[in-house]
Amino acid sequence: MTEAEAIRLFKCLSDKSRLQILKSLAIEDMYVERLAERLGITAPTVSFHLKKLADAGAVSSYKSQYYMMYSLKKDIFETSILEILQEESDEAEVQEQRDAEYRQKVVDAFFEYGKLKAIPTQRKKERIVLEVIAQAFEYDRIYTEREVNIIIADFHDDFCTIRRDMVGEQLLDRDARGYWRIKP
Amino acid sequence: MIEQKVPKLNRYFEEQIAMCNQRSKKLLDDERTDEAAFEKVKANVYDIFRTILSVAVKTSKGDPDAVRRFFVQKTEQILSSWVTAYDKAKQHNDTVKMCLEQIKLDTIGEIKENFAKTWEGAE
Repeated sequence: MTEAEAIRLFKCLSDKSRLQILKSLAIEDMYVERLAERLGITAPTVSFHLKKLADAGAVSSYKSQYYMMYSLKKDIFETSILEILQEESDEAEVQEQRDAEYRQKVVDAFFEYGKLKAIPTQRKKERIVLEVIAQAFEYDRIYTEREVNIIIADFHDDFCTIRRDMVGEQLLDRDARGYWRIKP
Repeated sequence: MIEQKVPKLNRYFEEQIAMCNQRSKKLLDDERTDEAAFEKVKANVYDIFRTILSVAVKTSKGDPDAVRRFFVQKTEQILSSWVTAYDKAKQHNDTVKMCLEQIKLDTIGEIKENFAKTWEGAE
């Protein structure tokens, strides 16, 4: 388990309702409504907690007849805390993780369901956003300006600004034939 | 009578906000941080509509119909955008967002009902 995974799991566990859900699942697999009834909280709240627990790798789900059943991922809980503490983390890896977390934070803040909510004003953040959009372009392919605009418009209406900035940030290049994605 | 309806609604908003804050504190003390945050979300919704009511009163210059129209129109506008947000979350199977949007929708539903009861009932 990496440090980031351990932190996510511990954060997730530091909530009484989630602990009670896990305690219930330690007895047997259950579905949302049953957990809600057992714990005296609403079904949407149980779903909310289960999503967080699933993201932290603490529970998994499977379909059984009409119900989505949830079960405890016992292997996660068989890891001892000492094992987690003894795991070495080198500085480069930590830095890489920090960068990835920052990147994810920016992506989460500026994108909603794959659409760009606003173009960031900070250059560092805009670069991250443009890199995400650049992933929609294939390498070794020439795109017409219209094709570029259509791809960018899937993310944001202001395709002119984004297209220009992607060229400025050297994510795309262009000549008389059209545009192409620059390899890093 | 607008002189009775507005204070009654204001009292309702204040009481609901106080209750949400109380429940939030209790949940926090019980180490249920996310559920405590849900109560804060509810309190914020009540606060938004308390503000809308005060703007409605200020802009309508004592005309009860204008207050009602303003309040109902704003409520419908907000409700429609929250329904869209919920549907979008549902479409993307975003359980966390769905839960938060559901709380907002439940609260706005309750406010609508209470407003109608207070406004029509006092007449």
